This record gives sequence, C-alpha cells and structure tokens, in this order.
Amino acid sequence: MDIKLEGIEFSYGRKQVLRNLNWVIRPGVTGLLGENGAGKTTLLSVLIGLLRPKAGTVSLSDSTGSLPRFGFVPQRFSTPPEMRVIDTVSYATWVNGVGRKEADQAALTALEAVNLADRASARARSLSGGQRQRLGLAAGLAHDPDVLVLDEPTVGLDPTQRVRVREVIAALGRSRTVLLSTHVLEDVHHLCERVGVLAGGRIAFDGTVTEVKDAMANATEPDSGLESALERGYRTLLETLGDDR
Amino acid sequence: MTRRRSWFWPHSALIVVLPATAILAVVVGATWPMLAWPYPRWVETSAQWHQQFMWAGIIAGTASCLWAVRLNRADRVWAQPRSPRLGAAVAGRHLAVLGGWFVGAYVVALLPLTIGTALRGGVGLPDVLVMLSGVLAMTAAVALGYALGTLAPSLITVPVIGIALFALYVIGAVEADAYAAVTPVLYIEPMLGQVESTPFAVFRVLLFAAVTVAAAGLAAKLLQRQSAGTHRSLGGRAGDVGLFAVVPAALVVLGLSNQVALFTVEGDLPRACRIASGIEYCVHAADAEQLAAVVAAFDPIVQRFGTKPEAIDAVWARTLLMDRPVNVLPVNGVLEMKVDASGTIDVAYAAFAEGLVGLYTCADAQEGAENWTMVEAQHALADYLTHGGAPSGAFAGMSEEEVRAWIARNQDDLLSCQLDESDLPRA
Repeated sequence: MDIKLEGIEFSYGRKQVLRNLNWVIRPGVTGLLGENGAGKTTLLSVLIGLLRPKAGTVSLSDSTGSLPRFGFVPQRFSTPPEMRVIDTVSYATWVNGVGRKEADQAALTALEAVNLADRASARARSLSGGQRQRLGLAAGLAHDPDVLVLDEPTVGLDPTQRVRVREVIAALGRSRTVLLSTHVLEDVHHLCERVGVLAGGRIAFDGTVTEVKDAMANATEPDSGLESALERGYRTLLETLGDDR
Repeated sequence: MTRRRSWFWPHSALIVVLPATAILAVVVGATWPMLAWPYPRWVETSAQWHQQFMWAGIIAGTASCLWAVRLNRADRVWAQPRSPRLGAAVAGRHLAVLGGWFVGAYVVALLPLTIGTALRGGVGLPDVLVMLSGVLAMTAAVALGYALGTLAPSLITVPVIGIALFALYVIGAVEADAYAAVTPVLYIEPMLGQVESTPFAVFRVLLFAAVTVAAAGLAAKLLQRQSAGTHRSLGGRAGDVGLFAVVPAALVVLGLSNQVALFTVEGDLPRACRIASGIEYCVHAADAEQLAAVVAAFDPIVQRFGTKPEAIDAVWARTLLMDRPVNVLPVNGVLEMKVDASGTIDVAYAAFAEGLVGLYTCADAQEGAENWTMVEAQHALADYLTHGGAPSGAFAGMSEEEVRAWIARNQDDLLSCQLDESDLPRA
C-alpha cells in the first residue's frame, strides 16, 4: 500500500513545522530521518491522524479499495503495570477492530512474532526495556495493520535487544508498509530500503540507503575514520541540504 | 482460560471483584437485621433499594473511576489513532463489566431482604419504581465515576469522586427536603401508611437514567477524541462536558426549584382498634397482630394511674395520623405512638406516663423557673406509672390504692401545673 502526502502544511501557533510537504511512502520499510526538532513526530502524527494539517491531504491506496488499518507504536507509551502481557496485546487488538475471540489468538501470534510469547502470562511491570518495546510492537501489529508507523522503536535498548527488535521490524516490512522514524542510522542501514530526510519542513531527500551513502563522495571534510559510510553520507547530505533549512 | 477472563477482561479480577464483594458485604450487613423483623413491609423494603446506596454508591463510583484511570489514559499503547472501537464500543464494554459487577452485587445483596419480605407476606406491594430508582442511582454512580476517570485520568481523581458522592449524601441529610429529589439516599424513610409519591419516584428514575446516559456518552466521546487525535484540546473537552451535562443539569435545577412531596399518605387507611380502660387503641390493619402488644404496653400505666386520663381518649399509631405533624402531647384527645416492623413499640408509652403527670405542660409553663422539687416528684410518679413496683421519692411507701387516690384528687392541678410542694404526699 502506498501512502501519499501532498501539500502538507502544519504549524504550532506561529512556528511552521511542515511546509508544502510532498512524499510517497511505498511498501517495505522506509526510514524517516531528520535532526532534533525537524518535525518528524509531527509528520508521523499528521500521517496517522493524530494531528490535522492546516492544508494538504494524506491518501492511502491499495488494490482492494478498503480502508487501511493503521498500527502505531509511539516513542513513549504506557501500559498498566499490573496487566498481563497477553491481556495488554489482546485488548489493543480488540480496540483496533478484531473480534473478542480472535483477539486472544492474534495477540499470541503477535507475541510470537516479537519473541515475547514466553512472557505472555507475565505482568507488564516485570518486562525489561527491550521486552517492553517489543510488547508495544506486538500491540501495534496484532490487528494485522496495512501500515505500521514506528517512532524511535530502538531508543534506550541495549545492542542485543536492538538486534531482536530489528529482526521483528524487518520481518514485518516484508508484508506491509512500515515507516520508521529514528535517529539511529544503524537501524536505517539494517532495515530500510528507502529513506526520507525531513529538513526545513519538507522531505528534502527521498532515496535509497545506497544513495545516502553515495552522498559521502561530496564530503568536503576529511574522513575522521570514526563514522560509518552511512553516517558520513547522512552528515554530508544534511550539510548539502543546509541551504534549504 | 479465555472464558474466565471474559468476566473481568480486559483488566484483572481484583479491580472488580474486591469492590463488588465490599458492596455485597455492606448492603447485606445493613439489611440483614431487617430479615429478623416479624412484620415486614414492602414500603420499607422497597426504600432500601435506594437507601443502601450510601456506601455501595461510593464504592462503585470510586472503583469505576479507578478502572477508567488505569485503562483510558491517552498514552496507553492501545489508544491508537483511527482505532475503530476507541469510543462507544470501549466505553460500552467497560461499563458492561463494571455495571455487571457493581450493580449486580447491589441487586444480589438486596435479594435476601426482598425475597424474605415476599416469603413472609410483607404488608403492601413492592414499589417497582422506587426499587428501580435505587438501581439506576447505582448505574449513575458507575457511569459518573467512569466518565470522570476518563476525563481526568489521574489517581487523584479516584478519592475526589468518593468524596463527591459522600458530600451528596451529607447534603441530602442536612438539607433534607430541599435536596431530596436529587440525592439517592433520602434523609427519612417512608413508613406504613405512606408511599413514595409517584411524581417524586418518576423524577428520580429520569434523573438517574439521564446521569447514566450522559456520563456514558461523555466517556465514549472522550475516548473517541483519542482515536481522532483531538483529545488534547481543552476547549473540546470542556464543550463535551457542557453538552452532555445539559439534560442532567436541567433536571437537577428542576428538582431543586420544585419541591415535590416525598411521600403520599394512603387513602382510607384500614384500622384495627380495641378499647381498654376507656381508651381506644388503633393501629394500621396490617399491624393488627401487634394491637395486643400495644394495649399491653399502655394499659398497665392507665391501670396504675387509676382513671381514664382526662386529656386522652385514644392512642393511635402514627401510621394513621400522617396528615398531622408529630406531637408528643395528645391533640384533640388523640395521643400518637409508633409501631415498628421490628415488633417494638415506640418509647412513646414511657413518654405517655410523663405526659400524664404533667411534665411536658410544666416544662412549657415554667421554662427557666422550674420548681425542681416538683419536677423530681413528677419524674418519680412517671417512673412508677411506667414500670410499676414500689413508688419512690415523694410517693415512697404508698400503696397502689393510695397513689391512685392521690392522682384522682389532684389530676386537674397536676395537668395544669398548679401543684406546689405542699400538695405532695411526703411534703
């Protein structure tokens, strides 16, 4: 399913955050990059309907013409600590339109997908940071959404947990449209087929990960040897886009 | 496992079972003694369906608020935009669980009293409208607690709703008639010979139903705003509260500005009467079985008094005198007393003797300048008349006959407070 954003404008009071933003997000995992304060979370909120743009449209198209189902895992979310993991996911699934009886099975399937099935009966308060993040992923995907939007899903995770979450996201991206907002370029390197860079209130760059790396060739500063090719390419890209910011 | 969880789903058993058990315990605890009453009356049993709201309503309201606070915060992982059930479906599911447990526990707790009244042939008929008003008051407490927990999903909200519901009870008790129409617990309970007036009961049914619907609608709207992404707008939420509060608020204003009589008196009350020592004793026909006990309580006093008291021609049960204010003194020769469903006769028969010896008339006539020797002598005489045995005080050592003779000589002066110490037998 493609997601098409056309002429999106959004501002908080006088501060304009998104300006005539146009972008097409295609099936697979797409990364959304941008500096702090660039408006990534605002863009995600507009995309999923949490914020209404002052102008522009968000359209979703698929071959069946049916209304798409969204899954959203925000950067910060809470769960009642006393609730069981299975009930948390099952309830989220039911709220998202799945029947009561089917919700339990769908929740279990989602927990298996995020490698959390063995903690299904545990209370949410007993989960580690990585397990909690995977619980959020399970809650976001158990209702089998067409579009999954993830806001900084690996922030705060240790390397092992991060790898696990990445594996889950990669698997999800094989069958649906996944938009990943992140600061972690390593996530982008491992997961994303395409990348959009938000700068100056618009998608200033829309291309493949390879194209981001290629931007490194235009670097004016010498290679410090501490950055990966992607990081150096991304930094160069931001410098190139500097005039537009 | 799934079926078991469905009773509480999506939350755990503790959050509903514990409050429901508490409701069951307080209501059964409060109504259990009534089961032992030998003369059950439907008017009193029906009234318990709203009177027991006092603690049950507070428990239900606070527990429902806690449930909403735990589940309906906007940052919960399931509060996702475009979620199709985030709105009326979620509110409906939650309220079905909460109402099922809390209102269910309330109804179950009142069943022993209700069934007991039916099995023991309670006097009168069950007042379905009155009972319904109590059940709806409970649903209103559940919906109100839930809506407030959704509106302000903080743990601080939980005690606030509890305090607010208790304040409602206090206002109803202190302001009495003025707030009776809008408070679930009435400051006074109806007795035999009275029924809760139909307009009053209908109004309360409408009010509590309106509060239930409005609170449920508000909660659904607030949740729907989470789905639409407009929950952050304070103006929007204030507008929602205002919109859903219009009808209940209008009904509250109507109830406060138009005081409807709480109770109406049954027309043509059937009486059961018996004459003893020249005095007519009457009770409601439904209390005919207690008539002998009434005569047995009063007549020995008259016997010891020695003659029919001049001011008293009849002693009637309060249930037969609902059209006049309560009075401890005889009015037009009729003294009132109260016969309870518990089988006890009001302490009025003790006051009866005090009235016969002129304690009340003297207290009124000599206010601030009492002759304490006379007051002491009157108390001694009243105590003897009530309990029998050996007279004491100014009448110590006198036989029953001597006391009767003294009363016969001094009855007029005794009642008109004209006696002084020199008139006492042991002056």
